[in-house]
Amino acid sequence: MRRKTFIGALAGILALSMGACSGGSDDGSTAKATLTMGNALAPQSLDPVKSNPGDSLPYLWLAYDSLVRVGPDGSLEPGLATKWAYSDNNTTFELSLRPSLKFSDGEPLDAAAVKANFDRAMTINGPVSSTWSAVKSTEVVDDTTVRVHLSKPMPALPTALSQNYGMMVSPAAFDKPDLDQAPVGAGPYTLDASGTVQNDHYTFVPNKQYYDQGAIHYKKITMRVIADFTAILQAVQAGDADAGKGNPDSATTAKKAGLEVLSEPTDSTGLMLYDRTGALVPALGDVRVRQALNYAIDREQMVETILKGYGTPTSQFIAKGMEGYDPALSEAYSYDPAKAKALLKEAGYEKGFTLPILSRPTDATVVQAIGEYFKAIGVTVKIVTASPAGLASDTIEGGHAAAWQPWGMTNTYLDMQTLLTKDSPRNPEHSVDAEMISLLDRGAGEDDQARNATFQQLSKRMTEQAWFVPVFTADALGIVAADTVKNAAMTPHVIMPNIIGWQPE
Amino acid sequence: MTMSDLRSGRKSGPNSLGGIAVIGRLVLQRLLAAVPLVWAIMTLTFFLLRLTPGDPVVQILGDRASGAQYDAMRTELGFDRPMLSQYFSFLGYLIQGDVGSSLFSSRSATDVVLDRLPATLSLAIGATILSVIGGVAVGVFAALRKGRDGTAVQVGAVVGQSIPDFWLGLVLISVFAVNLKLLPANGYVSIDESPGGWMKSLILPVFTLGLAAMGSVARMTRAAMVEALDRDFIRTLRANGVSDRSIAFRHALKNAAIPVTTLVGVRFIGMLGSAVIIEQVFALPGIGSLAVSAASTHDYPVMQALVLYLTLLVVVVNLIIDVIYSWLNPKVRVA
Repeated sequence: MRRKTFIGALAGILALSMGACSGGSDDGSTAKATLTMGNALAPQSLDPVKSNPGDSLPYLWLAYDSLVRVGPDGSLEPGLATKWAYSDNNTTFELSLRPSLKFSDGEPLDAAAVKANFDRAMTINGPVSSTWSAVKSTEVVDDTTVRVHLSKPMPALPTALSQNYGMMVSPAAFDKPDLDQAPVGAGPYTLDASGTVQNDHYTFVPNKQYYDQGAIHYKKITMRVIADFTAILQAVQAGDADAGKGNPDSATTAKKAGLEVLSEPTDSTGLMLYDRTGALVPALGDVRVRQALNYAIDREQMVETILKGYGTPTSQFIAKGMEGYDPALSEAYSYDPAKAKALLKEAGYEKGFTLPILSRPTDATVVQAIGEYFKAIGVTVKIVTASPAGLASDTIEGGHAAAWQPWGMTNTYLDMQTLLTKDSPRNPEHSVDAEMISLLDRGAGEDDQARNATFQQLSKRMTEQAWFVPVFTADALGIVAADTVKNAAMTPHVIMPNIIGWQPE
Repeated sequence: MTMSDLRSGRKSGPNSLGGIAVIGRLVLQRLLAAVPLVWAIMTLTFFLLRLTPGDPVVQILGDRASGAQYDAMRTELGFDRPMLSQYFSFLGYLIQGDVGSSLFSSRSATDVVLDRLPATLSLAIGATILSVIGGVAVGVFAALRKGRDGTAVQVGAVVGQSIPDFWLGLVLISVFAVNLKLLPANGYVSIDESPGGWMKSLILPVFTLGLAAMGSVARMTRAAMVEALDRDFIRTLRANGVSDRSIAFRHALKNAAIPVTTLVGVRFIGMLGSAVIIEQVFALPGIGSLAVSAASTHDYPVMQALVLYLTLLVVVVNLIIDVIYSWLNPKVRVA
């Protein structure tokens, strides 16, 4: 009797939970004109000039599009702007807009609106402000033409306009206090506030004012924030998401499970030898020692084990696809421990020395591997774990001879500006190489072709001086359910794709 | 106490006016005591956050800004002022119930936290309900059947208690979401968006979080029931012809409920901590995942708001437990 009651109760509980399982399958399943994407991070801000590039870009592109677009081969293509050109040794820049563009609030996107945005950017202190610091003044030439005057030659404007600074905010919304959460732009989609929970999911619906309605392929795009890469993969596998960001582990699993894996080289990783003056570790002051460290590492092996093959070995700081990249320099330091030892001997460090390497706790095993390579040539690595403040914060504070860290590149001129100049935060021990600076300044004023050649010389100088021990360029990875999405591709040089061109299968 | 009172399991006290007054005083006392507690915890958090290495300004501007940019941002946020002066203005606003805005958005830190509470509370309350219903049912069953069935249930409870929750979560996702496609792999649907979707989004995480608690509630219930069934008054009841079912559920279980209630309260508060992991595995927008991100970006106001609400939550839960406890056990109220 008692037993029957108990079993009855259990059956009841089970039935209830089964009911809960089957209930609610009514939602979803309209024609697959929706796209759900799993992102690792939420946008820092939906106000483009207050947001970092990188993880924020896919959200921002949907709402704002950009004046200049990055094409599939990495070249710059027309976006909201149709053409642009420099004059006066790259100190004047002129840009032409498509005619009769409108923001999602109905306001016109004309030359006056672009000028207003460019002027606003000069007043805002944000993560990408250094890009804009050379802008001196702007002027409206005619209804669709804007001119920018620069205080010094600055060749990176088109690149800047393909990212945050090319995203135009409706001037009527400048003073909206919640602009960072409710964007008002001229992109193909607008944010649907009712379907959005900040930092969890963001719903985008078509913008009826967008100039190219044929380019709007989805009734709804949901950008979900899923911090864990395994969880992103599981969401795609379960059919809850159509695509998502990947890492080498999740991409390997995804490929085995029959999903499509997108890849595009982006960030490089290696050792930043900050102490080139030898103030902290005297040995690093000798170029032969820095070169020896470069010869000591088997980069191919590192790519296989750490990136599961999703990357390319390189001994050049400047990444492939960027101005100044020289394929020959990527192999400048092949794996040669004997040569490394000989160089150390020449420099008088036959008995080796101790090299402290600052690194993130998550990179401990990678730095241990580096330590093994260095041990083979007699150099002892002491791992210094980054404080909870983070690696960036620690390096800016200074006092670190070397750090194992990744670096992204958006534009050679801009990146070298923050890397090689004496007082830049990414040059914490203030090393100076006159030749590098003069090449950088020379390139700034040249046309594209001449600048590429000049920056190749700069890359050669940087590689020879061995200020860095670049190890590999990692691929940015995307996981896609191929049966629901076509035309899916990563965007060159950024860690997240611009999904405007993606289409339902 | 008359025999009919005994049969119905009624005791004098719980509903009497005196009892309510005592409980009312208890509630008032606890709420008053919470004021200095909140002050102390908020002060401690304020200084701990600022003594932890790390600069929110670097988080906001990234590593490519100039020194002048960092300084300007520091001034804008008031971080250039002496720490004590920052503390007193913080306290001034706190008294008005304002902990400031998130450093990364225009939203108030309170809103940021309140946005995240429903997911965590749904998860923790769901898991508590599961652990109480499931744990008590299993515990009573095990207590009443002392043979092989009882032992099997006990072993099951220990196993349930020992499975690591993140691992269980991953297994459940791979079975029910990736392979069977019955439930979503992760994510949260709010109850006003779709009650069905809300329920579906919670089944796996609630089970994952609740299983261990269910195991410990089952073991505690069984032990307390066995002890209660051994007492003299049970023998008297049985001699007076009270049915087995009435003895088990009206009398023994009510006695056993006292330690179980305490356990459930402690477990509930523990679940708010475990939520950090469960929310990560299931990508739930709760306060656990918020704590992780706010701590890593040094979002001071959000951290303060989080600590404030968690403290209040713990105070309230403890209070509820005390009230239930004193209702179950009149002796406590006298003390």
